[in-house]
Amino acid sequence: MRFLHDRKLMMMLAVLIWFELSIASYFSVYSIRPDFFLIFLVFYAFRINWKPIVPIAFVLGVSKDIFSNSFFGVETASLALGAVFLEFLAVRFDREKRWIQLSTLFSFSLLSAILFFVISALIKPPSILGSWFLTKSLLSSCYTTLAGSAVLPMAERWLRFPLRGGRQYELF
Amino acid sequence: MRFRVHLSRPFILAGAISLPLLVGAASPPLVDHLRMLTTTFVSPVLEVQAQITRFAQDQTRALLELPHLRRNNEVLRSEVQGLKRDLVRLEELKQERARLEELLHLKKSFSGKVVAAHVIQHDPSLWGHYIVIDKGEADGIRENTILMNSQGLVGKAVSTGAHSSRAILLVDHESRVSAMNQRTRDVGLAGGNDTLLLRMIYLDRDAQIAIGDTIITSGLGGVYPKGIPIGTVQMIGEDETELTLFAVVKPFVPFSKLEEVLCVFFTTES
Repeated sequence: MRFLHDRKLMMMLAVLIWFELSIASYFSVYSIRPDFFLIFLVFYAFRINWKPIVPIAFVLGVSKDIFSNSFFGVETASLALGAVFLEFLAVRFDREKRWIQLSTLFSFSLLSAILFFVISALIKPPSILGSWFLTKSLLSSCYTTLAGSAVLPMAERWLRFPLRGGRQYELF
Repeated sequence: MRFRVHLSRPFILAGAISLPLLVGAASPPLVDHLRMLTTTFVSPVLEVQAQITRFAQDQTRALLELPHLRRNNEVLRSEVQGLKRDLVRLEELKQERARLEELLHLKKSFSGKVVAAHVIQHDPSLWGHYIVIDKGEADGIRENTILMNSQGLVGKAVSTGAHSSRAILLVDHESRVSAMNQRTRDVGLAGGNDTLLLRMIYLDRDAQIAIGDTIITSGLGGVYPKGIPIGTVQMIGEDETELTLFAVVKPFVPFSKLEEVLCVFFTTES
């Protein structure tokens, strides 16, 4: 939990939560919108540090649970479990390649949605399921990836240095 | 760099994942209290931000409209002349309607208080359809206070703080309202299914429902009064059990673009 002492990261998370609460809804198209938490997690895991990604996902998940009205804990569980998968990928792949970042973002987004669904179904049947679930998960993952293709280069430019991100391969 | 799995890690992870779920399952009132407390804490900031956003939107709109104002002015002047004539005619119709209402002994199903509220937060979850409004108990909002806008039924308040309230939208998968076909008076149960459309179920097999019919609240159930517009029928089908029909209803209210709502306090007189 050393990341909790990182003031810049905490400030960044506060801004991110504020952004998700107030600005993100403007990107909504037929109730489908990009998930900026997922984009940030991919950015942080790939470009800053993959080690604390699960605790960060936990913090973001709890905040999402508090501000939403779904069954408390489901967002946290799906995001934290998804982050384990993200960590797994971040360790194994070339983290500097944009297409790897984006394809990871897509699969991470889809996995989180599926985990949300599975946990919801286990806890509180009948759940949100329906034919729309898969379509919405796919569309939302595509939209998140699309938004990620615009946000990740910006984050790379403006956030990597303040958050002290290192390179995966250092020659000297 | 190797990905090492420490022995304690799966336990910590399982604990971290299950702890919020256990809290949610063990004590829903505690979670509600926590959520309301957070909303109360955050809502002043969101309210100020919403005001700034509205101000900026208004100013931008005013600036963009400036070149068209002169031309619009001419058009509007001529329209005003026409409207004045219509106004006289409408006044006549209004008086006639008042007389007819009196004749039919139609009482207004609700009296009085209506509070306008701004939507200051949308549900951040992809799977929920809740909003937070900037009016709370201090303004008279209580649990089950009905939310409407000029187009129709929006939802109802589910928890209230001093100066803000959380409300469930009609399209949420947990939302249900007893509904009625305005033309044929067939009654069913309309509810959200996590899309922007509603599904009206338990319609009688012999119901004469048709595409384009208007669906309104039936007044059954005690929460929503009779006659609030909900939407129009887009599709009709047979239930899986083949005993009843269902209808897909397109709501009148654009839920993804909600900015203001009216909180209506109904007092049934009948």
